[in-house]
Amino acid sequence: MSEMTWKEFLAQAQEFLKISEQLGDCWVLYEKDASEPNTFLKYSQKIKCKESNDGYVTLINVEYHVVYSVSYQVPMLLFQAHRSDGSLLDLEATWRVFMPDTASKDLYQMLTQTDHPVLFRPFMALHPCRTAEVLDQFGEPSANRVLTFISLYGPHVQLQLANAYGLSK
Amino acid sequence: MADSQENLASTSTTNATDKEAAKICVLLNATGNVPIIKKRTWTVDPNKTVSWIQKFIHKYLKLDATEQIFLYVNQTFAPAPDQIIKNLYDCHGTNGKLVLYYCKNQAWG
Repeated sequence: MSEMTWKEFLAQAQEFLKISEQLGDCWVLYEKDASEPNTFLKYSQKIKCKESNDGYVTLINVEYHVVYSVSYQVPMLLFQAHRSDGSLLDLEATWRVFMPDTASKDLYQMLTQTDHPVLFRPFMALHPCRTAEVLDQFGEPSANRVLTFISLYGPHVQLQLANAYGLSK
Repeated sequence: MADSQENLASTSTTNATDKEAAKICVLLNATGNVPIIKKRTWTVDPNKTVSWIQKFIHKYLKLDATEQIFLYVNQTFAPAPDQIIKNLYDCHGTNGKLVLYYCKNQAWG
C-alpha cells in the first residue's frame, strides 16, 4: 500500500525541496519543531480569478501547505486564500474560485475547512481518504510519493508544477 | 490560371503532410486495475492538452463518471491537465515517442 511513515514523508519532502531549489522554484520547508508531524512544505502564489459575475478580475494570494496526515498516513494538501485587501476567502468563495464546475453535493467530499494539524488554524483541505488508493494505482511504487501527490492533487486547486519536476529520478 | 491552381493544390498537400509529421507519437501504458487499450501507439496533435487525452481514454474505456483517469510520466510525475502535449514531449519524450502511463481510480469520497 502507498501509505507512508512520518520518516518517509520527511525524507521525500526534503528531496522534493531539493528538486524545487534546482529548478529555481520557491517551495520552503516549515519546521515548527522536530516532532511528528510538525514539519510541512509551503508554497505561495498569486492567481487571477473572477470572483463575481461583474467581470472584475481580482488577484488572490494563495498559500499551500503539504502536511503529513497522521490518521491517513499520506500527504495532505491544505491551503488558504486571501484577497488583496487581506480578507480571507470563506468556504463558499473558495469553492467558487477553485471548483466552479463541481456540483455542490460533491464539494463536501472534496474540499472543506478543517483544523491545520500543525498550526491549529482553520485551513481549506483536500480530502485525503482516497489518496493512498490513487497512489497505489501507479504500477511500480513512485520514487517520491510527495512529488507524485502534489502533481496529482495540486492542479485541482490551481497548484501546478513545471514539467521538469518529472525529470528527476 | 491553371498553374496557380496547381500550386495551390500542391502547397495544401505539403501542409497536410507537414501537419501529419508534426503530430506526436504517444505510447499509452495501462497500470493498476485499469483495462488496457489494444492500440498502444497513438498520434496526437501537439496542441492538445493532457486533459483532452484523459477525456479520450475515459470515453474510450466507457468509464463511470465518478472514476477519473490519471496520466503520469516517469513513474512519479502527473503533468498538469492544461499542459499541452508538445511541451510534455519536449521535456519527457524519448526516441521520438512520449510514453504515458494511465490508471483510474475514484479521486474523492
